[in-house]
Amino acid sequence: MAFLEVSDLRVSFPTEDGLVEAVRGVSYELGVGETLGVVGESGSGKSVTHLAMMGLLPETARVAAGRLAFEGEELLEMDEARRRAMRGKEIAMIFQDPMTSLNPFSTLGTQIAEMLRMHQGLRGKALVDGAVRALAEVGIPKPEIRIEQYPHEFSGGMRQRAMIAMMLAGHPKLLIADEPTTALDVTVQAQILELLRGLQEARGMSIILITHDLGVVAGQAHRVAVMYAGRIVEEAETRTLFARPSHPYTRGLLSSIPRLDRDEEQLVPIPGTPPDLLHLSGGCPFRPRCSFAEPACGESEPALREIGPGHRIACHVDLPALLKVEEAK
Amino acid sequence: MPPFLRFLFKRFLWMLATLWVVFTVSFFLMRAIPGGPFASERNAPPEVEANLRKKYGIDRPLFEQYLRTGVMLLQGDFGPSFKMEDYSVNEVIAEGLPKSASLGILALWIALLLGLPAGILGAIHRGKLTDNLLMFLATAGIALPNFVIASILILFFVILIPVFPPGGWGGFSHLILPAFCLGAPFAAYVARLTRTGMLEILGQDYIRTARAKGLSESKVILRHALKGGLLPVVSFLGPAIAGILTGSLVIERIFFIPGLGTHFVQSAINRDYTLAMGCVLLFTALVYAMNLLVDICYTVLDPRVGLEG
Repeated sequence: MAFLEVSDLRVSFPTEDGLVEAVRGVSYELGVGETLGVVGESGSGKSVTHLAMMGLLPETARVAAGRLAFEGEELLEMDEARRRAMRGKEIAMIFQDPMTSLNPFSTLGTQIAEMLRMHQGLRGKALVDGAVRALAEVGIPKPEIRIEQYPHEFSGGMRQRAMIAMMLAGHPKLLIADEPTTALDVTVQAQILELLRGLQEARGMSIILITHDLGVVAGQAHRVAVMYAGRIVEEAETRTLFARPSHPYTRGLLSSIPRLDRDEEQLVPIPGTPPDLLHLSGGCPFRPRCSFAEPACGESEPALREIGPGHRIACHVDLPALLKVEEAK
Repeated sequence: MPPFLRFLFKRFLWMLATLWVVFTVSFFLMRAIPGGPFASERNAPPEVEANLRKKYGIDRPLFEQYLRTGVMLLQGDFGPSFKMEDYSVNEVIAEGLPKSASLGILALWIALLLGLPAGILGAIHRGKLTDNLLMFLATAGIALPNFVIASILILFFVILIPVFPPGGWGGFSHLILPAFCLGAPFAAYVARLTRTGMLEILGQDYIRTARAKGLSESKVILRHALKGGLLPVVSFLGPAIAGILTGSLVIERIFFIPGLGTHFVQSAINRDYTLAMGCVLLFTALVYAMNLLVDICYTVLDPRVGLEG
C-alpha cells in the first residue's frame, strides 16, 4: 500500500461555454518521507489536482478518481467531517502568496494557536508556548514578540516561514506546497527551500512541491512529475529527468532555463501557447508546439508508458532513440 | 500628548471648523429664501410684523444678525424659536431629541439584528433560494417607502390583531411598530452591505487557508470572514446612525410621536431661522461624531489602519 495513491484523477468545472476538464486523468504514487516535484505551466492542472486532494475546490467542481487514497483510505468516499478532520492534521497545504494567505485581521500567535488547539488539543498557556516554539522552529527570530504581530508586520520571507510554522503545527504527514517560493526574492527562495528540506528530515513527512520552475525542484525533489494540459506527460527520478528528459515538453522546459555552465547555448523558448482545455482536438495536446510531432500524434492522445525504471512518458515519439540517431550523425 | 488624544483634539478642531462653515452657509441660504418667519398667511398688519421683526432682531443688517447669532451659538444658546412661541430652540431639541433617539436606537437594533444575519446567510448560500429570498426582501425594504410599510403594519397589528397601540408616546409598546418601520430600510441596506462584504472576503486567499487548516465552515465564517466582511457595514453605520437618531418626519407623523424629525422639515418650511439652524448644527455634529467613532472602530477592527488626524 502506497502512502498516497492517485489514479485517474479527473476534475472538471462547468462554465458558460461548457464543461472544462482541468485535470484529465492524473496518476502517481508517493512514499513516506518522499518529495515529489510537480512542474507545469499555469493552467496545467497542477494546483487543481492538489486542491482536489485537499477538498478545497469550489462546490461547482466535479472530482472523480479511480483511486485517491491516503494511507489506504479513499478520500473521495469519506464524509465531509472526516475529510475536515484530516485537513491540517494529516495533510497540510501552504500557498503561493503568504501576504494574502494569512488572515490580516489577527496576530500570527492567534492563527497558530488555532491549529494547536484544534489538532493538538492544547489549551491556555500551552498555546502561547506552542506558538512561540512553532515560530522558533522555522527560524523566526524573537518569536515571543512575533506572535503578537500581524501579518503586515512581517517581511515576505518571514511571512512564508510563519505560514509554514502554522501549517506544520498539526504535525501533518503530508505537506502540499503550492508554489511556496514564487512570490519571494531569489535569496529568500533558497532559504525557504532549505527550511522545508530541514523540516522534512526532522519530521519524516512527505512533500508535494508544486512549481512552474524546474530549478526549484532540482535540489529538492526525489521524483518529478511534469504536467501539461491536465495530465502528467513525464515522470522520473529527479536525476533521470534532468539527465535524460524524454518528453519534448520537458526538453523544452529545460532548454528555456538559463545555464551558467554552458555558455554556447541560447535560451530556446517553447513556441506557441498552452492549449485551450475547452477545445482539445483529440490528439496529443502538445502536438501544435512540438517539433518532433509525427502523424500518429494527431490521431490519439498518448498514454503514459514506461521507458526505464520509474521513468514514464506520455509520447508517441521515441525521443531517446531519435536523439541517439541524431547524435550518431 | 499621546497620539490618541492628539488625534481626538485635531478632529475636534476640524469639527468646530466644519460647524462654522455649515453655520455660515445655512445662515445666508435661509435668509436668501423668499419669505420670512412672520410673512405668513395670517396677513398681520405691517406694523405688527415690523414689531415682531424688531423683537427677534431680524430688522438689523444681515451681517450684524450673523455676528449676534454666532456669538449666541458660541455660548451654546440657539435662541428662541420664531414659530413656537415661548419655546427656546434648546428646549425644543431637549424635548424632541430623547424621543427620536430612543426610537432610533431601537430601530438601529432591529436593523442590525435583521440585517447582519440576513447578509451573512445570503453570502453563505449565494445564488440559492435562501439568498434570493433574503435579497428580494432586502430590495423590497429599500424600495418600499416606510409609510407603506407603516400602513401595512398598522392594518395587521393594530386593526386586525390589536397587539400594539396605534400611536402616541408612552410605553415600550408604542415604540415597536414605528421602530420597525424606521429600521426596515436600514436593515435592508445592512443586509446588502453585509452580503457584499462577506462575499468579497469569502473569496480571499486567507479563507482558503482557514479551510485548509481544517476549520468547520461556521468557524471559517465567524472567526476569519466576519471581521473583514463587516467593515463596509461599519462605514455605512456612521452617517446612518446620525440620520436614524434625529428622527423621521414620516414615521413621527404617522405614529404621532412628538420627536425631532418633524422639526427638521417644518422649521425650514416655516422659515423658523433659529430652530432650523439648531437642527442643522445638531445633525452636523452628530454626523461628525459618528464618523469619528467609525474611524476609531476601524483601527480596532483592522490592524493595518492607523489613526490620522
